[in-house]
Order: sequence, then C-alpha cells, then structure tokens
Amino acid sequence: MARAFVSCINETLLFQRYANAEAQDAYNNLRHADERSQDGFLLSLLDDFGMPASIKKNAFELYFSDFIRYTGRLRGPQWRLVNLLYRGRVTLAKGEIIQILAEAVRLKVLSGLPLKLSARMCEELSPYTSPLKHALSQVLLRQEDSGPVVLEACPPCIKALLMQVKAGKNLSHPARFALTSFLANIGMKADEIVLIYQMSPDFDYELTRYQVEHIKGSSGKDYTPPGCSTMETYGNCVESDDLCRRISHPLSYYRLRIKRGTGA
Amino acid sequence: MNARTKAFLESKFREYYHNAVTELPPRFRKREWAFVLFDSAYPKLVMRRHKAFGSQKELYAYLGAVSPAHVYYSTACYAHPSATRMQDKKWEGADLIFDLDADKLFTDSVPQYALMLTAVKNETDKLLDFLMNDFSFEDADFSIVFSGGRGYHVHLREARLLTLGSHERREVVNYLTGTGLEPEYLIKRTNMVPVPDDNSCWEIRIRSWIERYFKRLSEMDSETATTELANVKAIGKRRAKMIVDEMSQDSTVAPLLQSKLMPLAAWKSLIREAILQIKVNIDVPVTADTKRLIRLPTSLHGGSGLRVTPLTLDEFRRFDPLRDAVVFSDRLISVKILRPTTAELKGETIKVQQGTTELPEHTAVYLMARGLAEYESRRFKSDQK
Repeated sequence: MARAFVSCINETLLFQRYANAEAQDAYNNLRHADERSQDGFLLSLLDDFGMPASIKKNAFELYFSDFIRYTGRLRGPQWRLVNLLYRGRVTLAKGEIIQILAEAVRLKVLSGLPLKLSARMCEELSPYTSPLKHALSQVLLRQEDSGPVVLEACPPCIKALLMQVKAGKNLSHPARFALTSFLANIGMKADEIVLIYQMSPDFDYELTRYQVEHIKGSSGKDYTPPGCSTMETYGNCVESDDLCRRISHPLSYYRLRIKRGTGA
Repeated sequence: MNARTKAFLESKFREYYHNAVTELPPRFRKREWAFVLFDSAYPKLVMRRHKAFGSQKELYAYLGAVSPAHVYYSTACYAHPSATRMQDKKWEGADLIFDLDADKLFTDSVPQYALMLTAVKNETDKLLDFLMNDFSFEDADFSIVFSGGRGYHVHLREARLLTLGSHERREVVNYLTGTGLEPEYLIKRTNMVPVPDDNSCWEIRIRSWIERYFKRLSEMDSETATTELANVKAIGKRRAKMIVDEMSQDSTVAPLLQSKLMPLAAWKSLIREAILQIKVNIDVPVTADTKRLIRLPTSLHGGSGLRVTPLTLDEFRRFDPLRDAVVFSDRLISVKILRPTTAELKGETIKVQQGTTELPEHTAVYLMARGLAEYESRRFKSDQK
C-alpha cells in the first residue's frame, strides 16, 4: 500500500526517502533476528540478492564485484576495496554484511518504483495522497530556494578549483565539470560562471557560455556535480577538513555550512 | 596530409583488410561500431558512429569497401546498437577495460617512441600482476591488446563484471591507483606494529616493499645507507645512523618495528613512497566509462600504420611492438620527408632529413600516418618519367 501511495505521488525525492526507510527496517530486523539461525539466514538472503557468500572463521567472504555493487554509497575506509581486497574476495563481519543487505534492499525497492498503476487507482487514493503531496511540495520548494550564493561556504575542493582558475590555470575536463555544475547547483547564474573562467588561458567566451549552459540544464538535462568519491578518483578532493569526513557530496557540505550560518 | 598520401594509405589499408582475418569481440551484433575514414577532413577525426553489423561477412565487406583509418567498437552491448540517441540504445552491460597510455606516464618531457613503449609495457605488466594476484583473475579471463599507438588495452569479460556501473568501476580504478589508501588507517588497523599487516593484498604489497627497501639499505655500506635513509621525511641524519647500525646486526625489519627507532611520521612517509612506487598509472576515465568506444584488435591504427595486436600473456611477454605490430613490407617507397625524424621499425633505426628519399614500405607508411612524410611514388626514382 505504501508503495502505491508513493508511486501515485511520483516524486524522485519521495522514492529515495521511501527506499531508505525500507532499508532501515530491513537493517533493524536483521540485527535483532534470532542469533542461532542468523548466519544461515543471512547466507540465503545474500544468495537471493545474487551475491553468494561463504563463511570462514566466523566472518563472511564476498566476491569483490558483489561487494562494490552495494557499498558505493557507504562512507569510511572500512568500505573501500583498497583496504579489503584479498585474492578477489573481501572478508566482512556480520554487522557489515547486514549493512550491505540493507543497501541491496534499498536499491531493489528504488528500482521497483514507481509501480505501474492506473490513473483511476491513483484517483481513488487521492484523499490519502494529496496531504502528503502538499507537504512534499513544501520541502521541495525549500530545497529549490537556495538563497544567495555564498562562496565562503564552498567545500575546500571547490575553493581550490576556484583558486586555480583565478590563478590562470587550465582545469582538466573533470575538474571543470565539477566546478561548473557545483556553482550552477548552488544557484549561480550562467553569466557569473562564465566570468569566473575568464582568467583561463584558453578562455573562449562562446564555447564557455555554451558549456556552462549545457551543464546548467538548458538542454533539458540537469547535471548534478560529482560526489566526493568521484572527486577523489580524479584527484580533485583536496584539503578535506572535519566537515568533509561527515559528508559524501560537496553540495551537502555547502548546505550544512549555509544552515549553520557559514563562517569559516 | 595531401590527397595523394591519403589515397596511398587507404590503398595499403585496403590491401591489409582484404587479406587479414579480423578478430571479432564476443556478441559483436550487440555492439556499436565507429569508423574514421581517409576522407577530405582526415587527419581531423570525423567519426562515423552508430553502425551495427548482423554478420561477420557484413563487417568484412564494409572494412574492405571503405578501408578505414581507425576502427572502433563499443565496450558496451546494447539491445539497439545502431540507435542514434544513447538513451535509445538500451545498455545491457559493458566489458571492463583498462587503458595504459604512455602520455599519462610522461607529463614533463616526451621521450622517444621506443622508450615510451617500453615504459608503458612495464606499466601494463604491473596491471596484469594486480589482476592475477589481487583480483585472482586467470590469464584466460582477460585479453591484452597493443593499441597500435602509445599503449595497451586490457579487456575483461567475466560475466559478474559486465553490469558494474561507472561508480563501481571507479572503485576498481581506485584500487589500482591506491587512491584512498591512508597510512594512518593502515597503521591503526595493525595494533602495535607501525607497518601494514597482511589482511589485504595492498597491505602485503606495502609490507614487502618496505622489507625490500631495508634489505637494499642493509646491502649498502653504512655511509651510503645513512644518507639514503636520512632522505626519508622525519628521520634525520643522527637517527638514520642509529637505524643503520641497528640493521647491520639483523637485516630484517623486525628489530626496527620493536625498537621505536623509527618515528611514526617516518613510517608514514615510507608507506606513502611505497604506494607511489607500487600503484598502476592507468587512464582513469576510460575504465569508469561504461559506453566507451575502443579500437578493434587486428585493425590498423591510422596514426601509425601499426596493427592493433591482440596478445596472450605469453605473447605479451615476448612482444616488441616495433617488430611484431608491423604489417607492411620492406619494398622501397619514395616519400618526401617534411621534418627530420627517426623511425625504429623492424630493429632498424632510420634517421631521415627533409627532402625526398626512399624508405621501406612499413617505415614510409608509419611516417606518412604520423604526418611526417608525404607520398611521392611507388617506383624507384630512376624509373620515373
């Protein structure tokens, strides 16, 4: 029933929230399941999700590709392949296996939404869904109105890119994309972004303007800036600070800073 | 590149495609194909994309007819490979690809082609070691390809890898480049001992690198060893001497670990150095891209005339691209050299100056493809009217 509500309201943010809640539920249930039967049960669940595992010395062993499929969103060194891989496999404690299963549940739920429901059915549910819809629109509205741009509140990686541009350095393609999409997402206007690139030695007004507008979504597709892990891969995650450790996306950093009233 | 040169190269490529047995990727009907032709825009790369072929015969006929300068296919398989919009193709999965490019190894100065090729082959060897040791792949699981240009491609088609998304592929890249390895974390995980334990393959690699490092020091005379060790951040001359004295009694790392002679900061900087030496320098975006176009093995590289050469592990070990990827003959061709340069094909170093000269066909094709020569004539000068 809950899935039907969510499907009728048909809003991506709601799908995500709903999937998170289902995953949280699964996590709690698995955590508190009966100790004795637990290992076998977890193994069969892992099998159902297409990641056959084995138990060795009280720990679970997963094939590396099954592991990375479900751990991309999990933060911290204990989830990184560099710290875990041993001959094609990774070894995990029970608590970690449960977290991975919860993530598998989240992705499964998310990929199943929205359900294909008839317009008539949604019509019938509307007495229940319309208050939800209204509340949701308030949330979305608040998100969209990001207020004035505060460069001070940008994360260190973005500040570093800004410095490089100002110093007249050419940015790599991934870096340029990261900077532009980030600035566009915090509400900077295309003209203002183009001005920032003026200092680049290879500055070409028309080309830059075209690229910026493309990223800003004038072609109908909205680009989200890359997350922390992508920034890291391309070597663009620099000077990370305490707040960085608590977030996984540069935009979250910015929003938190704004919420807290910026400051350095 | 003038029209005569283009026409000559095209005819040589056509000859090759008529006789060559081209190796096709698995499920080739589901792949998008792309070509660069020796057309009026060439050497500017204008790609003709979104082609698909229903049979091997069809592809051969196409190659024979247009004799392209460059041939690519998609690493991805699609339900509709010839759809012109990416979202209409319906992605079904993609091979996992690694690209090793000499350009990425030399950022400051560019050495000679032969040296670049040696360096990039060593780097490829490092990658293969990671794939076989850390990831437990067997040599049947991957194919190695000399790109015909400045590097190698490694293709993996294990079923469990095909549906990995871009994000997950980046996790594999991060593994190979050691991105996210923190000395602090490595040390913290292993209680007491300030060097990585052996819980993961990276830890084992770092540990054995450090052991080799001290072994090397212990084989030097004590003064050289002291100077070398004093270069490590946070050690200093005086402490370096003490460590070297300690080592001369026992050449293993063990006493160092216990003795607290090495400060934590020194261990950290040694670990950092180890990571830099061990990691593989692969081209990151290529692996992360799930819709990449990649050169067809057994096709010709239009920028060099060399063969994009598929290799087994054994063949790779013995492979010399400047000998084994050469397909054209040593019949003499007359060309006009545009800039003085050196070519080293088939074990022969040929230095050429500006002006008209005769060269073996393979070297002539190579220089023309690189834009360093123009075609003059197939006949000896003395035969010309």
